[in-house]
Amino acid sequence: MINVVNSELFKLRTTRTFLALFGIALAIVLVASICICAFVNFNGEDVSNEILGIVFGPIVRALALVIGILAVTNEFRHGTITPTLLVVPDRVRLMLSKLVAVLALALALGFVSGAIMVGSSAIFGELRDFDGSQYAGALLIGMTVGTALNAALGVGVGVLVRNQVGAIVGILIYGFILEDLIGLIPWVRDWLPKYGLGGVSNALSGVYGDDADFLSQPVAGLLLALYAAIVMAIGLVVMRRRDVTA
Amino acid sequence: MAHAIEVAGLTKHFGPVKAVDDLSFTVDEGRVTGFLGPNGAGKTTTLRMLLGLVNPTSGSATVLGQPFPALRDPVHTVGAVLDGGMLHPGRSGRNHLRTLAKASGIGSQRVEELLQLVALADAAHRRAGGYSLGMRQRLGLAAALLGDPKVLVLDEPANGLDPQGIRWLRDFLRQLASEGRAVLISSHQLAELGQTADDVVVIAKGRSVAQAPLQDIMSRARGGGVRVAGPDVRRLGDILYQAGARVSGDPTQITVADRTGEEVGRVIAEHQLVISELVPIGASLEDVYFELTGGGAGGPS
Repeated sequence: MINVVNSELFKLRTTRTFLALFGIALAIVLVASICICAFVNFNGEDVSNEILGIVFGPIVRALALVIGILAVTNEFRHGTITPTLLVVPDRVRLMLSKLVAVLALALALGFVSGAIMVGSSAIFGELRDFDGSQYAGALLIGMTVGTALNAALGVGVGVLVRNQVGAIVGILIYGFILEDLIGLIPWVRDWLPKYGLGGVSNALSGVYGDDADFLSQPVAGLLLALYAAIVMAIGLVVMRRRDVTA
Repeated sequence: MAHAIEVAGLTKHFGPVKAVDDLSFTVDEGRVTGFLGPNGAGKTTTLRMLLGLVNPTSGSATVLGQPFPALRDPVHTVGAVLDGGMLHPGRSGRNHLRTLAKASGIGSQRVEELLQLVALADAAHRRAGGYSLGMRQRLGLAAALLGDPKVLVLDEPANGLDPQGIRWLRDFLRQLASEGRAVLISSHQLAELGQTADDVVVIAKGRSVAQAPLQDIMSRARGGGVRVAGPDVRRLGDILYQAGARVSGDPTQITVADRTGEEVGRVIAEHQLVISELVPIGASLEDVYFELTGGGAGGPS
């Protein structure tokens, strides 16, 4: 299993798309965090970490989701799934190794992104005399865990839907558009915003405090992990039965 | 003792289409076995079922007595090239091999050895998207050899290779077989396979139509007749035709399909005819192939 995880980490490191997504996520967070903390006029009630978490958390999570999907669907898109399965015939072991590799890198991405946000807030808070420390710990934990779990969800989606474009477009449309639209339906309105993918991910970011519309951070983390595990489990069942013809 | 490869009653349906129909054959160690059939005959589907990539509807396929997915050490047991080398276009050839080597705990030194062996060391740092078909095939072959396997399964490995590469591949496969390895090779290059294979499995429409040592299959096939050229061939043709022979050709050269060289020679001597050439035409593997598969039912591709 360790050999296969090493191989999967190496695959991610040796494709430009992955490196680009990783770099873009960090660049967006770095530049935007510095700009916001340096130039925005915060009033007395504003919390810089809350703003950064609400604005940039979803972007990093979405990119992590895409990284997870790419880690699987690239194999099918380019046909490398065939030589890979000739070396690792156990499909479940292969996909779980991909999951571990993506989780490791997404944890790093989430932690560094969170650290940039928290660090920018703290430094500019001192310099410009605004509250740059509130939610710092929760934001760091939320960014780290939230990014990792979204990447894991992406791996599960990729295992379930082999078509790369379909998987990425589908999950992004659902996350950014469809879930909000479905949330307008009266009998769904009461629970989807709270328990849906977006609501749970936002709650996990840790910047909503005691807001009753959001789950607590630990519960949100467990629920998102459950969602990712369910998608992954369904994907693995389908994957085992599927014919690999390309 | 188990065969290196044993396919028994293998059947695969894709919806209403029966791609492989109750196919059975074996491949033994120390032999190169050619796997022949027209396009759409079910060769690739059979190889994919053998390698655990496609689930059979019924039947079984084993390598050294075990289904491929159950092998404890697949890389050191079976090496395979399917549909040419399938590569990530943005990854270098060397890194492609290294991803596979890492997954099976094989070191970088073996990767470099294989890059030298398939003459890709100079291009190994380049992104694989720019590789020619021949280079992709050679990289695929290097991947198949990573674990120095006992069994090799190759799907059209000569595609895209230049004549020098084809000759190298032929000698290499013969060498692997002489070391006691089993080689199963599907190919459309019948003349090439005729020089490489010990045994032949021929399939058509998903069913086995012949399985035997190559020499047995060749000798079973119809003879090719005799070709005769020279100033009196027209008269010779008339005489043979009147005697019931199947004759075709033109005034300078004829082909007699159902007479031996000796029989035609006796007719020439008896009638004191002048000829310049008398050549027996042996059945080629291509002739045998078309005879067995029903005359190229797959159509051009």
